[in-house]
Amino acid sequence: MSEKAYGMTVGKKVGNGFMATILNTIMIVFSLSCIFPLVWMFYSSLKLKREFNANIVGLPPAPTLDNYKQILTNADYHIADSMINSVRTTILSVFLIVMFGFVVGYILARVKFKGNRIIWLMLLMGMLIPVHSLLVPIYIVFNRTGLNNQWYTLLIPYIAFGMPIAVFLIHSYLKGIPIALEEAASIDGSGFTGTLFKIIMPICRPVMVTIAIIQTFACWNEFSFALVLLRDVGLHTVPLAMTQFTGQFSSDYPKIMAAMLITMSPIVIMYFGFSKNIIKGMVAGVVKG
Amino acid sequence: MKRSKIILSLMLSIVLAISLLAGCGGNETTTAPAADTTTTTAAPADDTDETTAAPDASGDGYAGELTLMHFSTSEESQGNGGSDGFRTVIANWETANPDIALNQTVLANDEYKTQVATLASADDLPDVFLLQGMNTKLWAEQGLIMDMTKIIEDSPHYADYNTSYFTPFTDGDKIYGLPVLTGGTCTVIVYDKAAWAEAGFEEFPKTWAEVEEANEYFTANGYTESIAFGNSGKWQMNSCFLSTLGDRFTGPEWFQSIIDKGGAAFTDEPFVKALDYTGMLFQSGVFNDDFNAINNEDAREYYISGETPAFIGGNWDVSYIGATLLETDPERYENTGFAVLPQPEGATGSENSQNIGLGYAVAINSKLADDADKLAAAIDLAYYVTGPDFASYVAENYALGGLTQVSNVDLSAFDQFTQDFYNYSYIDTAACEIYDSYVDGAVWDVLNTELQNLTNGSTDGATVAQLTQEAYEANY
Repeated sequence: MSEKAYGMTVGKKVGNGFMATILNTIMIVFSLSCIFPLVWMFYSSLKLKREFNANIVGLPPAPTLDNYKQILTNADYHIADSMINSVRTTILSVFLIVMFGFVVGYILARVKFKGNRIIWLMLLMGMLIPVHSLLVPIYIVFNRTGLNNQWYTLLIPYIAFGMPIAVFLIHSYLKGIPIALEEAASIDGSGFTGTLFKIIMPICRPVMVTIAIIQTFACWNEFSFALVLLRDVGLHTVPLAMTQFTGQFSSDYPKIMAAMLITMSPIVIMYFGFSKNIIKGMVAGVVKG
Repeated sequence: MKRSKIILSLMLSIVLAISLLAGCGGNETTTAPAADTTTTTAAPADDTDETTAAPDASGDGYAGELTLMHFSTSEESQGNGGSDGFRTVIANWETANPDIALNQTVLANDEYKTQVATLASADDLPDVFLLQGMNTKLWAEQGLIMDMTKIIEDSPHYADYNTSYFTPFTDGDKIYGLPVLTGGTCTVIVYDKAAWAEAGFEEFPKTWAEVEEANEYFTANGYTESIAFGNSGKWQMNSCFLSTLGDRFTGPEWFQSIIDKGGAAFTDEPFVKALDYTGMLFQSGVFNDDFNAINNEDAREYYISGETPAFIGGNWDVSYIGATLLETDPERYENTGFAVLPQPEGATGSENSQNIGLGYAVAINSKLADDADKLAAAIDLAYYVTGPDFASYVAENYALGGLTQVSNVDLSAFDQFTQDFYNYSYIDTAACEIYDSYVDGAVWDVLNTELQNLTNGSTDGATVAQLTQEAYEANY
């Protein structure tokens, strides 16, 4: 057998094998540290509260599905309602943030008009104002206008607070795209709308996916507006529903974990369904040839 | 691949469509959930049905909507007698008042506090809600809550009220709420009588010097320390230790003066002494080393597992310890006793005090003054949920007490553990105030943080007192 295989000496192969083992070990340890919280959540959800408090990291001595049964059968928990509310609010909010963000970002980046700069600065300022300082004024406005405690209530603040970052990203992305594209489209007879949606939008797909990912997590996890603007328990979103397992003086962690695993499922389904797109969206545009 | 995408798109579309449809119909305010008391109480359904027919559970003829906001969630009511009782009597009142649509907003305690504060800021409080003692003065000044002094005096149950519970909800000579839920102790030493007897103490030591003496025995005989305590949440040191220990040094008048802004200051010598003594105790090795890193839920496990022969916590911990020991270690359950904090050296206050009270009261939105019928219904609800039906329910099922005193509580149905704790809470000890039921949360935030520093040994009592006083002057 030749000393050389694929152009490498045995010494190099051993060296590479050794390095590969070390690197793989590091990667496996790192991967396990990422996966462990999920695994821990799962087996902890099979414990009773007492068993969990007695040994937080230990395996369940007598695994039980009681937590899942209680969560799914107790109507007061509103878990199914909260999931539906969260899915609806997140999908609609993200869709509208991406679409509005794209259109506004494009107009601000490409169309010169009086007030363009002021609108741009106002949108940027939206990212600088702490949300919590606006809770009470927003509550008062929503209350007086009858917009609070409706199924669509959360869409308004989510879109409003999601827009600045979306516009900012689209605006920055479009700055790197030569205007000659639109000029060429115009020469070929494409109108404004056609150019916007048929030429520019496909080019902006990577940044739009990035916005969608950021906003999906933001909307799904948002808590403050949901707490203040919704009074009807049937309209609560997942983060609010999770709080009911925390009592005044104690928390039922196994039940919280079971509920979290149940409520994570839509996001997990979405991730597996769109994982290729998500990864493509995150890396696209990184390397320019 | 294409097929899976189609299936996924279809699934998401269906979810979206269903959720939109559900949303359109989801505008109704949640009406009161049935009292799904999943706890295994002996509460006979027939009894509660009988009480619904009682004339004092009627809404005085009002027909319409009444909004109620509280934090007795379904989860909270499991194992919490006060919450269970509260949900039960609300359900009874609803049944007795079919013409009144009682729209309840029920949130977990932390979220409740946030939302009710926001509603107060927007002057949009519900008709009836639970008022925390520390909000009383400010909300009364702002005219958000109704002066209930006359309403309380006119109550058919007034003669049976434990009037000491009204203090946190009083501003001057006006009372702004009917104290609700159960009065449970916030400071109790739960100890293993057999273990302490082995150490030479037939009952829990009366002085901290004796506790330190016992600690030498315990650490030499397989225990980690003598007393388990958890303060990672910061509030535990205040609510479950300092409120009582402070009372031993200052006496009740000092704290009443703090509440009334009557001249007392946190920098007064007796309170500084209490702080220094607290710091010294937690540095003495009597408590578990990690007391500032774990919470009460972790600390009580030290007692349950037998690592420490005692634990300090509140009534909520006692319920959990009792239920767990009964199942896992019946002998230890039988041997468990309850004691007040030992008297510190140099303290001149009551040797038998423990802080107990009702942290919340049923309050009524001041706007109801414009609607006499609705106000009558709200008052009726307030009377009912704090009245004898509630008190009897929690006494008979949990050996707990509320605002309305129940005479001749028959404890014979309960085991020794429960009887002993009832006697500790309501009979054998002297009550003192729970600090953080009063004043302002911003003051306690400072004190609680500084107490962690103090017990870690990184500051002293005088500094903690000075910083607390500054927060007091700035916020109250």
